[in-house]
Amino acid sequence: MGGCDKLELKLGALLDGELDSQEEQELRAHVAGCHLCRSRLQSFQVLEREAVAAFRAPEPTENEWGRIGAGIREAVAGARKTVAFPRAQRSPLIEALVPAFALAACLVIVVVIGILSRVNREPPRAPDVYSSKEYEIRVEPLAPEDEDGALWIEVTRG
Amino acid sequence: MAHDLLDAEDLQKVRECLAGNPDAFEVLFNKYRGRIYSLAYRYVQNKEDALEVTQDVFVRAYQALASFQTGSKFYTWLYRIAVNRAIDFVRARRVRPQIEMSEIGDEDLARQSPGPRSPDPAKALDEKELRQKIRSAIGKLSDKHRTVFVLHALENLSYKEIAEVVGCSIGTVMSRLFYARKRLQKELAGYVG
Repeated sequence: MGGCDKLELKLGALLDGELDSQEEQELRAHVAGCHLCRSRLQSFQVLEREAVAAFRAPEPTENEWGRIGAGIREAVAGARKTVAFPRAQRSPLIEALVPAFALAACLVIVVVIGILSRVNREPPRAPDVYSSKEYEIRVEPLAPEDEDGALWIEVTRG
Repeated sequence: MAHDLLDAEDLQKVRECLAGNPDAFEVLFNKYRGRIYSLAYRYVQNKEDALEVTQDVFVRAYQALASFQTGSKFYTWLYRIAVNRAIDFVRARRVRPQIEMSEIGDEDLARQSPGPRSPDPAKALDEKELRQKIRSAIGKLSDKHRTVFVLHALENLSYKEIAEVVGCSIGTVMSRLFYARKRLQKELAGYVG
């Protein structure tokens, strides 16, 4: 009985023709003399036969296939327009130059960003200083990343 | 050997398609449309949705063709797309398969298959109930167990092919299939077996 339970996993493989010839021979010999395994094997067979019957798909008509085919052609034509230069059609020279172009494009972007950031950067503003005999007051804007629009006020005795 | 030839033909068509010949893809569509539709039908369980999934699978396959590894088989790659798409479709629409198919599928099948059917109305009802039970039981399996059962029992793929489609080992296929069968036997106790 315990042996039969271990063999049960292989009964399916026997039914499916997935055992090697020696294993198949041994298992067939066992099944021939074992009522439990024979009944389990038959039960698998009935299950699959009934499952096939329960799931038989109705055949689409030629018109329906035509509609599906047209839908695919339309989608595929759209895809071809989107991918105007498919990978498989690139010449070897272009394939080889693609990384170089990509690198050059990255360098150009970095240089442009660098130039723009220099152009846009405001020169550091000198602090406003108010002084009297007793006090000196320095008013200095903080860096934007610290606190947007905040001022630093320093008061010192003269 | 015959399989190898078929695989080589598929690969040739894939190459032609990538080289810019869309007719080559039409050949692949005509070759596999029935199998993909049939697989989709096992999941969505009505004709219109199965056709929609089929169309989507081929469109996605075309779009992903450049990523197809020519070392693998085209149809297992296509099956993988189909399984994933069908599972997503069922999740998205929250289809209750056993209900839809019982209403639509059996009528379609009755029109199409004039084969021996029981003349006894009570027995015919039993058959209908049995099919409904089976669909319901298969619908209750987890995605991974249902996929293995459908690919093997209904689509006749070998363990090796299923392993390629699902992306697991042959041993895993065997154990998932075993679990699926045991689960179905339990669910269908008194009806089948």
